[in-house]
Formats: sequence, C-alpha cells, structure tokens
Amino acid sequence: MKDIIRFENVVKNYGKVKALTGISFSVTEGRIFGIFGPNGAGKTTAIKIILGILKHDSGNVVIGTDNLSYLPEELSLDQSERVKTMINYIAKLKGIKSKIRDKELDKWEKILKIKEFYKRKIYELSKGQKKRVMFLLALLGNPDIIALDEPFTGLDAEAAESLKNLVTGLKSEGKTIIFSTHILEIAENICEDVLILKNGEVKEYGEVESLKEKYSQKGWIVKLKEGSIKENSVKDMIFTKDGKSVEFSDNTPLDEIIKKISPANIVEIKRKYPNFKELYFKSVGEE
Amino acid sequence: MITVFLYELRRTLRSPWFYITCLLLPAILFLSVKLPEFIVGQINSESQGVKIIIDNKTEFGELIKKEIENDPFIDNWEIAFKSEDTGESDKTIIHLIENNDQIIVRMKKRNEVYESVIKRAIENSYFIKTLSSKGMSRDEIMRLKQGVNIRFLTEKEKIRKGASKYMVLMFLVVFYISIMGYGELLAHRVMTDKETNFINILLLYKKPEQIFTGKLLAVVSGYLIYLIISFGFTLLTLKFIMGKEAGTFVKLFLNTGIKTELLLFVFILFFFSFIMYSSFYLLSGAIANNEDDLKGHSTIINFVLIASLIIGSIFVNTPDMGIERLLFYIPPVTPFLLLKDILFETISNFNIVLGFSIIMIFTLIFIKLASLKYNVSSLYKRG
Repeated sequence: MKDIIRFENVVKNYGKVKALTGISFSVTEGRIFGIFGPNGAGKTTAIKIILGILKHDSGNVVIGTDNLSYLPEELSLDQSERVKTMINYIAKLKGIKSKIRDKELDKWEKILKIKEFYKRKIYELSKGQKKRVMFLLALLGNPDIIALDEPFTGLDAEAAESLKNLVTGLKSEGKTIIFSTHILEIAENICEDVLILKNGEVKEYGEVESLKEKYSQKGWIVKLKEGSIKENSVKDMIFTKDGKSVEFSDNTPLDEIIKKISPANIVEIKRKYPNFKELYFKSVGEE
Repeated sequence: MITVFLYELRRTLRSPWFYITCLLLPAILFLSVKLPEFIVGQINSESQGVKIIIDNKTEFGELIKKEIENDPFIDNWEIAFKSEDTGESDKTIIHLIENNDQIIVRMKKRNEVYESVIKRAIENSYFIKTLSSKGMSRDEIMRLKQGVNIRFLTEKEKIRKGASKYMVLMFLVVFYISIMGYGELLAHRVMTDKETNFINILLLYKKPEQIFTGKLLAVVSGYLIYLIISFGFTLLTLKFIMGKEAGTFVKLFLNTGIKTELLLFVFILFFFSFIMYSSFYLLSGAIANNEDDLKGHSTIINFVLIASLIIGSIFVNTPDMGIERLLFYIPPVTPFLLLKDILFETISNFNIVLGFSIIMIFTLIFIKLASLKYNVSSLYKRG
C-alpha cells in the first residue's frame, strides 16, 4: 500500500500562535488513521490542511487524491431546509450526477437508514439522525479520503457503535479514514495508525500495536484455573482486579512463573500491554 | 458558482420575510396616499379648500385652460372658469377663478395628482406665452422645455416637486433601504456559514470567489425578483385605492422626461451599484467572527452609505464643481454622481464607462478581499 497523505515539516501559525511546528507524518492508503491530542494541539488544523481548506505556511504536503470528504466537529446545516434538498445541494457541489447520486443513496440507505426522514426539515431531526445525514453527505461522491473531526461527540452508545461499524466498513471498501476524537476507548478499537499531537508538535506517531509495544511495561498476565489459587493464600503475587489472573513484571523469567504457579493451574500466559488510554496519556505527558 | 447561486436564491425566495417585504412598499404607498388625504380632508371640511396662487396676472388664464384641456390625464375632471364656489360635491372639481389680480386653482379636496397636472399645464403655458412672442412654434418650445428644470414658484405657498424629482428621491430611498436590508442578509449568511462550519464543506469543492459571487448574485437577483413582485402588488394597491385614476398616477410617476435609453442606463447602474454595495456587506460577513462583530461592521457600512446618500444628494442640484469630479472616484459616492450625470445628460460616454469601471473594479476587489479571508491551499482543483 502506498502513502496517500504525506506531511514534511509542515508549519502553520495563526498570528503569533504556533498551531503546527514543523510536523511530519504519512498516512497509508486504506488505513484508519487517528489524530489525537488535547485541546489546541493542532488536530483540526492538520485535518484542514489535509483537506486543502487551510494553507500551510511552510513545509510540504502531498495528497494522493482529489476526492476528499469532510465531516467537521460541529456542522450545522440550514435548519429550515429539508433533508432531501440538502443532499441534492451537496451532491451538486460535488459534481455528482443525479443517477449516480440515487445509486449511492440506495447503497448507504442499508446502513444509515435516512430515507424515512428525507422530507423532514433539519430542525425536526434528533441529534443522532442529524449525524447520520451529515455522515451521508460526507460519503456522497465515493471519496478516497474521509476526514472526520470528532465524529462520536454527542452520540449515545448505540449510535456511536453503529458509526464505529460504519467506519470499519468503509475501511473494508479501501477508503482512508482520518479522524480525531476525544473518546479514546472507541479509538483503540478502530484505529490502526495514530498521530498524537501536543502544542503543535508530534508526540507519537505510528502503528497502534507498535506503540503499545513501545509503551508496554514488559509484563506477563497468567490466567489461572478457576479455584486453583486463592488470592489471600499466596504472597509475592499481584492479582488482577477480577482475581482470575496474576501479573508478573517483564524481568521475571517465564520458567520461574511456571514453577511458581505450577502448569496445572495455568490456563494461558500472555504479554501485558498498556491500553490506548495509557499510551495516550504517557505520550502527551499527562497522568 | 451556479450551484451556490441557485441554492442561495432559493433560500432567499423561500423565506417568509421576503414576502412580507414585498407587501411593504404597497402598504407604505397605501398609507402615504390615504393618510394625508384623510388628514387634508379633515382640514378641508372646515375650510374653503386649498388655494394655489399661480400668478399675479391673468394673462396666462386662457393658455392654462387650453393646456389642461389638452392634457391626456384630464378626462376625469370638471373644469370651470367661475368665480363663484360650486358648494359641496363628491367630485373633485378644479376651479380656475379669474379676477383682476390673480388666477386661483381651487380644489374641493387636495390631490397631489391633480396638482401636478395643473402645475405642468401652468409651466407649459408660461413657456408658450413667453417664447411664442419671440416667434417660436409650440413644438419648438416644447422641445426646448425638455430637460430644463422648471421651478414654478408661487408667491405664498410652496410648489410641490415634480414627478421626476419625486421618482429620483423615491428611487434613492428605496435603493438605500433595500441595500441595507439585503446587504445585511448577505453578511449574515456568510458569517453563519463560518459559524456553522458549512463554509468548510463548500470550500472543499468551490473556490471562495465562486462561493461569494454565487451568494452575491443570488441576493441581488432575489432583490430584483422582489422589485417585480412588489411593483405588481403596488399597481394592484393603486388600482384599489385610486380606481381609474391609478393609470394617471402611474403615467405621471413615470413621466420623468427621461429618454428610454437613459432609463436603461439607470437600470444597469442600479444593478451594478447594488452588487458593489452588497460586496461591502459580503466582506463584513467574511471578516466577522460572531453576531456582535457583524453588527459593528454593518453599522459602519450603513453609516458610509448614508453619508454617500447625503453627499450625493447635495450634488444632485448643484452645478458641476471640482470637488464633485474628485468624489466621482470614491466608490460609495460614484453611483450617485453617475446617476445624476446620466439623468441630466451631463456626462461623456468615456466617464460613463469610467464610472461603471470603478463600480465593477471595487466589487471585484471586495470579493477578492473576502476570499482572502479563507486561506485555502491550491492542493486540489476546485470549480
């Protein structure tokens, strides 16, 4: 797979405020790429530069396609317009012919289920329904890159779950998804590559699994057979919260662990990695 | 640009206030005709009627009578040269009362239309009487009269302004109210697009110049449609309030003595001026970050427009002076002075082209300035 986005020493300032201080990264085609960071880190600026709606001050930006789409964090459509009118308007802006538009609408209808409120005005929709409409608008025109700025904000668990499934579904169609979110649990499940920014600087960048390795505490988790060892009966062992597993530091040799617990009591032994949350907070220097 | 234009035009035409404003002009007209009539009627019921003192001599009496009789708008009136009062009557009767000292036009009820016709008859009579004595034919005199600003002054009462002046004044007032209303609408839309992030969607597919030109033309086109609808409603209102006399009133109103080709120029000037003034508001919307910013900007623009209106009005009735030439090059004032010059035919073709160029160049500059606010990259082709 080739790179579809490449940033080389990209700088962007808003007056005296440094939004991006010479960042470099690349995004591989067909991957789900998450951009994370605290408020004011430069996430939206980076996304806008990718989309070409904001000019960078210096550095190189290379984008491998002209067909991009964007769902901003807070997008408010003309409240008095009907859903259908809005869809037609955006389709025309994107230069999509009506026959192709209708085919695309039929395709996305199975997932987004919007047809039932085509004739409704935007203000008559719930927050989740509005988000679905906006998602549809972003998907029209079969874009190669879809940039989603905080797409999960304000959604209930069910809506967030269906959106998450949609994003992973898009990946299977070969789309490149760029998104930023504060909801790290969701990000952990769907992100393949991440860019963590703080104050316009790259704090971490790479494949999620590799980064987890990098930040791992080199530990082991040993799952015990039910009722084999009781928590209070042994010393020098740290049990997990559920009391079903025991944790060992990475410098404990494996044969010593096996000797200590006895193979008959072990269900499985696996590496212990920090979760995405730990990775994120450690990289931005916050606990 | 066309997609943005059509969408924005649709938005304009769908809004309820659009139809409310369409009814506003007829409503104002209705009140402006009916209210003074009602008030004057109340006063006249206690007095002997309004007297307009025309002249201190009787030498124009017969000529005035002829002029009024030849007037195409005279059909619905009765004219009498009597010295006695006819007493109460439902009809509006004009009495030309002759005596040794003066000619008096007496009406049972004050009526602006009738007054204008009488005034014009008197003006024509004055010219015929005065100039025919010098051997000129009536046609020659009437040709000479065209384009001459006649001020027919009475000794004791103010003479109302002629229909052409009235039209120009109405034109300017309506123009300025409209530009402020529609301009602020445009500024608000541009600012809202930014506030709601919708501009970021538009910018993905269209250049800022295309977006803004589309919005600008949509608002101006919306205004032209408003004018047509409003004019239709106004005619209906006139028909309702004036009956058969509505036609007379419209003819009088349009009887400006301005050549048709000049009127065409005036219309084109109106259109381009509207676009230029709207582009000021467009820029204000593009640089405003919120509603408060927008109010501040609109106040400044409204102030500039009113100042231009005042400056322009000052120069409408004054002879050409050096300062006027200088003001001609200041964009907010240019349309005024160009309008005046076109109406009075005191401008060369070169200066007409120059005036239009100033208007168009500044419109493009303002659109460009608004576009620069959106610092988009050239990574992708938009169009």
